Amino acid sequence: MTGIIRFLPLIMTAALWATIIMLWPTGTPSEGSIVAWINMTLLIILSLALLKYGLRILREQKERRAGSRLRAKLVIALVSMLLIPTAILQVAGNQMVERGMDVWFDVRVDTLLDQALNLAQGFYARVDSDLKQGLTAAMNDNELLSHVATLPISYALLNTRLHEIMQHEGWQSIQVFDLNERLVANVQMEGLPGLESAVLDDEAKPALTLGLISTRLVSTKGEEMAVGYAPLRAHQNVVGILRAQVKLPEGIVQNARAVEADYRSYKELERNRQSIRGTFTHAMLIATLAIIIAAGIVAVGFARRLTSPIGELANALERVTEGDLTVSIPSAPEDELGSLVHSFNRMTLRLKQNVEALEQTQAELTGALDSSRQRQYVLETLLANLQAGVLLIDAKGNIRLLNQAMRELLHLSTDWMPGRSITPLCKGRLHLVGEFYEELQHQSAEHLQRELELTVNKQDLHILARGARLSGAGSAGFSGYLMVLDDVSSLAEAQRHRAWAEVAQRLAHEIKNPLTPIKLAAERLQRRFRKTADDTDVFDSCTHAIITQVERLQRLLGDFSDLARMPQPKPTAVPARELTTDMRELYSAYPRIHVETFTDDIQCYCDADQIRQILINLMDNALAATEESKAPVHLYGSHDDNIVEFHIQDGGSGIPDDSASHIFDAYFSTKEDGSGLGLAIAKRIADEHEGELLLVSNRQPTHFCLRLPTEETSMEQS
Amino acid sequence: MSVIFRLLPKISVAVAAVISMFFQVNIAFSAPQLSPLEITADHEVIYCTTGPVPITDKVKQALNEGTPVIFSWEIIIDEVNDYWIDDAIGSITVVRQAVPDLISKSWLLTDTSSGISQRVYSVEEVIQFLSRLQNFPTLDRSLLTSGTLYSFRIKLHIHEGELSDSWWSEATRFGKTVALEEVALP
Repeated sequence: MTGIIRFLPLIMTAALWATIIMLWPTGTPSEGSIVAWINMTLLIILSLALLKYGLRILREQKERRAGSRLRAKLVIALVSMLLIPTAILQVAGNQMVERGMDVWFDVRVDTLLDQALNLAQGFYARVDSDLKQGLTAAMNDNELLSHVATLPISYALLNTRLHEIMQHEGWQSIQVFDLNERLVANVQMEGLPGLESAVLDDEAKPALTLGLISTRLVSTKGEEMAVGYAPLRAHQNVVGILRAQVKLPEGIVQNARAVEADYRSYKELERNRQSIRGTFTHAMLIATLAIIIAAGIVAVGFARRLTSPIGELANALERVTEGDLTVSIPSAPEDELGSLVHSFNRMTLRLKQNVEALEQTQAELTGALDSSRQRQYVLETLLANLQAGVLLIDAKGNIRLLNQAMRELLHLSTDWMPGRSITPLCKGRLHLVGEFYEELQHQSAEHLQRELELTVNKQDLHILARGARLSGAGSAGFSGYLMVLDDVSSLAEAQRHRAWAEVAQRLAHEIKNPLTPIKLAAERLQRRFRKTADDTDVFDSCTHAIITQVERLQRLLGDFSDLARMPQPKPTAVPARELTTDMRELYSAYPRIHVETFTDDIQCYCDADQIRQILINLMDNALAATEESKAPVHLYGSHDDNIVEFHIQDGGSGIPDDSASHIFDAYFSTKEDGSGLGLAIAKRIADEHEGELLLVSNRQPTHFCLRLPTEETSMEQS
Repeated sequence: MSVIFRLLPKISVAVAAVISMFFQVNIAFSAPQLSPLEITADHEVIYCTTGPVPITDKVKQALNEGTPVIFSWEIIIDEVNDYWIDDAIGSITVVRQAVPDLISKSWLLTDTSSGISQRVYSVEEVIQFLSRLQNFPTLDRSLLTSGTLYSFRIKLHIHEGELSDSWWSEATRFGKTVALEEVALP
């Protein structure tokens, strides 16, 4: 139904155009068609206005303009209220005219008027016929002819005879003219006042020239007379003209002329029957259109006045919905809508005040929150950048906070997250952490510090754990435990290394001194007492063993000294090709050693002597491992923009699996006479160069890789 | 009131459209078949002879049913210009009227330009009187120049009933062109 109402103006427009086409005036323009053209104008105006209004309704419906639908309904309702009765009136009026036409132009009226006219015409014809008959009798009257033809004319006798004929025929006057159209005799009923100079008119010519009787009707001063002319012949010659005049009865003449006028009017109306009907229809249509247009204008004005406050209210509400609380409707009618508008204005004012208060509170809260966030941000940044792992536990044993360093340090699973209880999580390899937490909980002191040995990702870590109980006013109402775990493995390693170095240095110093005299003494014994010895073989083997073992001890002590007195590397930009070329020249005597030098001019940033020491150590180990099998040993290099790699592969027996993880530990060796310090020193040199020494594969082939940076590193800068 | 003012441009457009259509219709009706027009001249006067124009049955019916019929002939003479609007030389109107008398079954014919009237008893005579101009003295010869092209246009307005002298009646008396001829006098 709403859809129909929406399109009603357009439907009415179409109906109007159909009406325009149907009623379009045709035929020759005339005065009567002006009304039709006025109607066309009004119809076109109305259709244009309706078209515009219909399009506006559609547009407003599409745009959801406030109050438009109500306005459209009001206008359509008001116009329809007038349109329907006026349309009914129009149709009824047309029907009445149609019926009226049928009644007015009834065949009986037509016949009646024809008969009346025929009656009048019959009377006139009778008068004319009588006049002609009388004139015929007169023109054949011998007495009259003798008076006219006998000269000199006896006017008394002629007039007497004329008077007798006039009396007999009932004429009003009778004259006789000669051939020169001069009046010869004149007799009339009226006296001297009616005496006029009779003049022959054109109607007399047939009588004069052709000898025929002619009559005609003459109207003067509201009177009508029949005038007739007849020739007077004597001896077949026309000797004069007889003119007779009959006055028609006044009443009959009036009636006859009235009949004629009515007949003429009736026929005119009958001929213009269609145009009369059209004129009436158009006249009624003008009135209808005028009413509809006036009603439409009034309806539009009324609807606009009624819906305008509603539209303003709706617009204002929409703005309020969008957050604009400054809206206010300035004008309002003095009725219920006005009361609504005032209430709306009060409501928006109160809303505005409330929102302002809320905004002020919000600003204060936001300030406080910003401050809190800033503090939180600082704390989170601090925790994120801390190398130490931090774990905060509340009084119920649930994790409240732990930083990334803690996760990375202990390789924590995803179960470790705020809100989870810590006790079930501290099991297996992390049981020491749980025990530390238990101890922290149950001790009386506020702080606790322990060193924990944990195995994380197959690495033994030395952890310094410190704990603190949080409670009281200083903790802002929070009670719980704070645990800070530091990886001090490197520090412990360094301390242990330093201790070992110091011990080794002292031992070397204390042992090395007597070794030289022992060796010299053994050699002296060999030289001086060999010849006197009973058993030379035993003597030789003993002295040789002493000398050999002393030399071994001296080498061992040398390694200890090297480990203890490892100098700081002095890195420079060294061409990688130079290092491999040195190795090729150095081991050129071994045909099973294949060295591939770098083809590119890549440089590595290192202490060349120390790197050569690593490479020689690795090559020596490879040669030793392949001494029996004579398997080939390969040295080659590779690089990218940041790293230069030296690869040493051999096809020896390889390194047992259980030894592979300890191969870089100090004093660990798979060789019987090894000190276990070579790879440890090599590893340390690589670490001090910010590089890496990796065991890529422990057998088939045994593959070591030394990685060195191509540019100066931060460690070296420091 | 504001609505009326707002709709005023549209009303004007609609009125203009209707008026233009009115004249379009008028023009459409003013292009019937033309009657022959003969222009003759002596030393002093230019004469026009035209017709007969076709008389509709409606006019004949009106004559037979007692309604006066008036033929208003307007002869318009213009000097023809090739590239501009024609110059008006003059125009003359002759009104011929037939008033029926149903009682006597006669028609009184009147030429209002000469004032001559005649009663006839045959409708054919009436039609002959109304529907043609025979050597009608139109223009003084001295007003025209020899060798110049002139157009003679005859517009005819047929009116049934009494002729009103009101301005409205005269304003709406639209004649249609029944004859057109362009001549150059020797």
